[in-house]
Amino acid sequence: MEVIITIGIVLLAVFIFYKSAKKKTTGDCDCGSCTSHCPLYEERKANKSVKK
Amino acid sequence: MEMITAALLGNPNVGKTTLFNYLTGSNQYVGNWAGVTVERKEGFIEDRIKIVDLPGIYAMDTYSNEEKVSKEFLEKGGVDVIVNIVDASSLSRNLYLTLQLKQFNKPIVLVLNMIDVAKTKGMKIDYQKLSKKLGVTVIPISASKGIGIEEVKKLLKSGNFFSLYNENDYQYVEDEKENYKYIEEVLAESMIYEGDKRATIGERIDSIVLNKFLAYPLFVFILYIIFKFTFSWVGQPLSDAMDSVIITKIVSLLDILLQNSSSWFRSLIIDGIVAGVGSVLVFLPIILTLFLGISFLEDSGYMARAAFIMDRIMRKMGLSGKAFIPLIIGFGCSVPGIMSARTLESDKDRKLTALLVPLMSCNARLPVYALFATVFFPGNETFITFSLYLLGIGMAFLIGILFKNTIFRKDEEPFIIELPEYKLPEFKSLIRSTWEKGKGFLKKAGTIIFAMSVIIWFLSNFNFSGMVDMGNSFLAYIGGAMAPIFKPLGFGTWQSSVALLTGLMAKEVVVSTMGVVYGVELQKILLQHFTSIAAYSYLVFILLYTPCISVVAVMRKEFGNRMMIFSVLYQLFLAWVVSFIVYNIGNLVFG
Ligand SMILES: Nc1nc2c(ncn2[C@@H]2O[C@H](COP(=O)(O)OP(=O)(O)OP(=O)(O)O)[C@@H](O)[C@H]2O)c(=O)[nH]1
Ligand SMILES: [Mg+2]
Repeated sequence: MEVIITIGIVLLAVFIFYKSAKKKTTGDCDCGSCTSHCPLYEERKANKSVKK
Repeated sequence: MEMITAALLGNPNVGKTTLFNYLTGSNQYVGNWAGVTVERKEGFIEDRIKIVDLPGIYAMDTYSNEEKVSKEFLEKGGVDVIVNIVDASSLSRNLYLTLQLKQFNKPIVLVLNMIDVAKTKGMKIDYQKLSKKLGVTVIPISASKGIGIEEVKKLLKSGNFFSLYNENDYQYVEDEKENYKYIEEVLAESMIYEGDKRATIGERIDSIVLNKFLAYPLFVFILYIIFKFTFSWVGQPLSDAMDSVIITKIVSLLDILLQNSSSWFRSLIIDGIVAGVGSVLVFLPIILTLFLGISFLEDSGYMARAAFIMDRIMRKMGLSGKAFIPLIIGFGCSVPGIMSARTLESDKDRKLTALLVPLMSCNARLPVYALFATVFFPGNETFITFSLYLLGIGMAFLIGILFKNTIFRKDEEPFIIELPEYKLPEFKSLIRSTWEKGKGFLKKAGTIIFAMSVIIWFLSNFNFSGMVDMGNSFLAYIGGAMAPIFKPLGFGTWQSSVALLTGLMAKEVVVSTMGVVYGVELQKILLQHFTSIAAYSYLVFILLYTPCISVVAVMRKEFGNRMMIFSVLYQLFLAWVVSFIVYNIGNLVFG
């Protein structure tokens, strides 16, 4: 049981780490303070609405 | 049915973005200074009308970046109607752009914003007459109070902009004076000025705030009050309460729950996840209060004055006061700070500003300061944190002068900033912008900080032969290899060294790393590993060394590889040198 939970936690952590590292290194940002006043945030939103 | 495109145009700081947010239900950054919006933003009403928010411009005849963006969009963006927003309380300046816009031969809706301000200023405007005289539809609104916005919506939905597009007798002429003369004529007929009751108050405040001798001390004082508010009065007490109540409760609860599980599993949950995430999370109140304070300054109109008085200092670095805005944004996060350097005219300005932005202490570093300040300098938290922020500003100043005289020689450019009216910020918008930041912080705690805590827990409890004592773990090995570099700075332990490395993912991770390697009793244990001078030297290093990888990546995206490498190296070098000086002088003086 413990092992299963641990594996779950680790997989989740590695997944989040991988995703956010990828985001960060491509100049896309997931920093906590850049919310609506960050130009990056907008670009991302704009991209999304284009794809839609 | 075809999509209608409406372009929002107007002078800087007239409330375009505020209206945009209302019309489209988005949540763009609104600030009480000119030049907040630097790129165009799009939004929709019912998927039928596209609204485009453009940067504020005064005219169409100079060639700043903002003007290029706006002009190009008007020419090529398939605009059906121009929504020209003007500040009703200073029509004579605002209408100049309106005259120029008429040259584009598109229907114009003239939105008179800030009628509330106009009213308190004692202006009475005859909207009908104004509309007739200018040959455009006129709608009076107050964007921030939500008055009249339905009108605008209705008109846009009706798609019927041409009804009033007649009697268009006056055309813009090349001669600036002629245009202003015409505007004066129009206003003479459509506006009655009953004398200003409020400007005098604003002017009186300005005479103190912008006073040659008082301006800088006052600026420092105001910042100090905000820090006091954050670290002594509100933020820190809340943080402490959160720490002692919530985190301690969670730990003891988990202790009971996990009584029967194996010790490694308990360690993962408590020493890894709870210590890692919790150690950062307790600083949420501090971050929120600091940003509440900064939002207040922005909205009240003081920030624009700060940029104005900074112009003199900035000029010494070969930058204009305009570069102060990216630097201020950098106090939140360097990424948007660097990006907003785009507003600056010359390439050299942009590069120099981008190099200086990371020296402004971003709020990710705040948890580190707060942790060390409470542990090592109880009672002086405000002063310690404040001194670090000032050190960052001072360093930016010195480095600016250094770079100006070496790699970035350049001519000076004039700086025009408009001083907005003082306003009592609206409670709702303060809360909203503060909450936005809080949300970002929580998200970060739940994602990258959580992930890093788990990873750090593993790296600090394992090596190739399995689970081991922390002193023999991967992490101890890596940290141990780095430690000698930091020995001369006073913090040569593997733990503090490795935290600098993991902190590159996000600066808060410095705290979670310590939470994981030192355990839940972090605060007590820290005291055994640092002297107070070493602790301060560590904070100086945190302030100045290479920013997190998001910043590095943005630097590369905006300016290329060479700038990125340069900024990483110069900051590392700077951090080492300054910490070295601080540590050794500190030891001489206090040791
Ligand atoms: N009193 C009053 N203030 C307003 C009104 N509309 C907007 N404001 C304030 O005016 C300031 C500027 O608003 P923004 O929407 O950022 O202005 P902007 O035109 O987008 O500015 P730039 O992007 O810099 O060109 C903010 O502090 C708003 O809260 C209004 O109707 N009345
Ligand atoms: Mg704007």
